[in-house]
Amino acid sequence: MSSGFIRESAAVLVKDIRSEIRTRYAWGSAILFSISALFSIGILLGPYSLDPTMAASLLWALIFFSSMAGLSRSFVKEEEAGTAEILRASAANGPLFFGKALFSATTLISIEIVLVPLFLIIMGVEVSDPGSFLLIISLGSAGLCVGTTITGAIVARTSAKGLLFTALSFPILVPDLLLSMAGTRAAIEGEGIRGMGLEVFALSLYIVAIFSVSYPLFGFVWEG
Amino acid sequence: MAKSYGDRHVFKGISFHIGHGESLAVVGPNGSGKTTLLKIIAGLLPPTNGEVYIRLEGRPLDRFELRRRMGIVLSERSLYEELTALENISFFTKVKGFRSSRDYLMGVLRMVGLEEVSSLLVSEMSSGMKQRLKIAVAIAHDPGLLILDEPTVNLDPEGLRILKDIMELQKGRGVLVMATADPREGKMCEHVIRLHP
Repeated sequence: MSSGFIRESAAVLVKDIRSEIRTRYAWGSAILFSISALFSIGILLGPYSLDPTMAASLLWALIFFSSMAGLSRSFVKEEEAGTAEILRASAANGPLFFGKALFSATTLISIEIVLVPLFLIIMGVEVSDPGSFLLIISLGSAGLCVGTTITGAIVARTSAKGLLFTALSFPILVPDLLLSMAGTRAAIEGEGIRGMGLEVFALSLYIVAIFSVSYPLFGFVWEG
Repeated sequence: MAKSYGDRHVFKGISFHIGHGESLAVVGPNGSGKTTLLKIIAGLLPPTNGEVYIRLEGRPLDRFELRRRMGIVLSERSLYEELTALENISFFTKVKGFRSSRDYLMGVLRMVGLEEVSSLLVSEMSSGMKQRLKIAVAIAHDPGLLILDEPTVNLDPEGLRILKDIMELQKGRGVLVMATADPREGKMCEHVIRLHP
């Protein structure tokens, strides 16, 4: 990866962050959704406590649906604002894909910074191995970001963007979600890195695989 | 070249050659295919038949190099409304792979008369100012090929004078292609293609 590639990717990322801070286009809706969903579930559960499997599943379900509310917006916004054409005429595909994936990561981090601690507090979940917990959250989120970057580009030119984004993303992200849930359960129970070795390995493999498919595919999707 | 959408022909039988230092005007009424032809030249649309060859120093340019060497003013909205004038021009210069200092970019904004409003959000700008900014974005990296789609839209007399200066400058350093509905504006270029709906 050349320094020019990194500079161009950084330009896309900085532009999107700057734009997001001024418009609150993606982050606001995603964070609001995640908080309201979390509180609704917390109220419904009342005094009942969650076992580690249920807690891990619920956490990833919340992360998945919150990300669906925010991660599609990056490319959709370019099409809606009328800037997609000039971006196609200006930016090379590689740095654009990378910059948009990094912006998705920033969006997801901003959701998780709010959602994950609140989830642990409200649901009364104690994490026995915080290091492994953070590792599995990071890996699962990386898979989500790469997977949703390509689906975001696919749906940007369609009419039923929101519906299609979730419908297309879900089958692509099922392996990521299942592995992340299993790894998160192991981290909550304190099985340590050895107990979740398979999940960490499989998630790393999944990220490499989804990136290897998405990256070359992006040019065809974006330029149509 | 020819372009059609299904059974509808936008244009057909177009063939032209423009050399370094030359300019071409594509003139025609609304719906005649001017923008389509410009987008095909820019590599944003594929032609139905035919090909576009763009050469630099005798060798063909691929799409990726063309993006770096080309400046384009599109007729549709093509600026980030939530960014300032300086942020817009800086972003587009960077994604094309160029490193430009703030002073240089301010100089480009000065050239189009926008230096004083460099920190103004595009959403707060008038239509004429936005058109000037589009032109600044297109020329900031000294493009070898400058494509202008209806560049005079929304420009006041001062903006028109600036545009003419930029067009003359471009003729000296590369190739200029513009589209216009006004045959009088077409006379600013040596070569003219007339399209009919």
